[in-house]
Amino acid sequence: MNLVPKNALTVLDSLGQDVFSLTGYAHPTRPTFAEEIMPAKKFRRSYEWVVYPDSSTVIKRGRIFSGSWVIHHEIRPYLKKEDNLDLIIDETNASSVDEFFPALDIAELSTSEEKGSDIDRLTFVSEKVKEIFCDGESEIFKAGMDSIFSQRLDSMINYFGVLTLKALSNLLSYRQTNIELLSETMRTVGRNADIKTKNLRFRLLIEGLNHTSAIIRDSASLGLYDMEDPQAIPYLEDAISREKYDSLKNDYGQIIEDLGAC
Amino acid sequence: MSILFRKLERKVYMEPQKADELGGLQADALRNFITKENALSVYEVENKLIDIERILAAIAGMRDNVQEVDYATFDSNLLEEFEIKTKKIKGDTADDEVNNLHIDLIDLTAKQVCLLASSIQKDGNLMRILKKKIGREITEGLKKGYLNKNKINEKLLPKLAKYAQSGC
Repeated sequence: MNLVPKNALTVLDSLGQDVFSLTGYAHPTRPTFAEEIMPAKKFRRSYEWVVYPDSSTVIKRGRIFSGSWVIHHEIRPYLKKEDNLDLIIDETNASSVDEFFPALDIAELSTSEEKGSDIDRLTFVSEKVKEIFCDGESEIFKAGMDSIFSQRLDSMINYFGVLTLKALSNLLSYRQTNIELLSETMRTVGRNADIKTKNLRFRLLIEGLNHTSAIIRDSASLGLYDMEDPQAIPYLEDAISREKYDSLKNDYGQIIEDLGAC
Repeated sequence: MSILFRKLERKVYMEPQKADELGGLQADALRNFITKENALSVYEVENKLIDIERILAAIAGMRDNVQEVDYATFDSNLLEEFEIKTKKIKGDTADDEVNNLHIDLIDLTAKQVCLLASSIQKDGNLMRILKKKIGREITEGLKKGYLNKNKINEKLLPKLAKYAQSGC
């Protein structure tokens, strides 16, 4: 009895209804890919089914953004003889993105010393943030318009909270970081709605008010305005006393007036 | 003589004191004057027949987010001074009356753009309206019917609710 699917799509059909977009096709020599994106998540998590040319192996793998693929399931039709593909999922080798990056306990991270695994995660998040900055170099930003850069950064803050803000704080103090991207970062940090990181985001923006670049100082003040927190007022008043450009002083004043009015 | 309005990407790019430090118009200022086919978009506000706020609302209505608008106003005499040609072209905002005020500055040379940017920095008004006012202006425009809801950016519409509710 030939239990090997005739082509990749047969295998995919057998795997269920979750696959809703296919990229690629059954090719005689190359693996076939089908992509499954989880739309419910704010961050972009992709799953991909990879079917090898002779259909001997099917792998389900997942990744966040364009990070490393993690294999979730491996199915070997040749090695199993039953026709119910659900039964031949190799769970022994299965791992999931969630296992690698569980939801972070913000309170614990902010009060305890970093453990080895947290350092690993910080390294991972820092690399991801750098990757987003690297990709952002080719993007053109328009005032008031969403950007891929800001959307990705927003997702990182939502998912990796404290660690993302630590990585951003490092980039803020690194002199060679692209000013336009840092500026866009200030706006994204101000607009982000994650309540758990509100204090850290606020602090990052206050840090931005001290930046050597007027573009960053301007964005940081607007980021604080976007947070709509009157606690920013004394910091902005302080910034006025240090600011060398008159027009920026006026802009800070306008923000203070608006924040104080509510 | 009339007043011309130019939307800026960010007015901080043309901070006048920075120009003083550098001894001339800073290169970043030109980011507010990026041409398309050697043309720049401006609005002509003749005799203040229409409020600047209405132009701002129309422009902000095309965006994804409620955000501040930076802009410059300047004397139309500058166009004559720098021999800049103009062409009346209907704008594409959600406000038809504002669209009628739109003109393109055409056949621009790099030198004309620099002269214009420099003069606007020196003698024009560089302004900013913060997002709360912008949000209120858009909701007001929709309420009064100046703005065509069907032409407003779809992403923006759900973000306007909070500006319709309170005075803050």
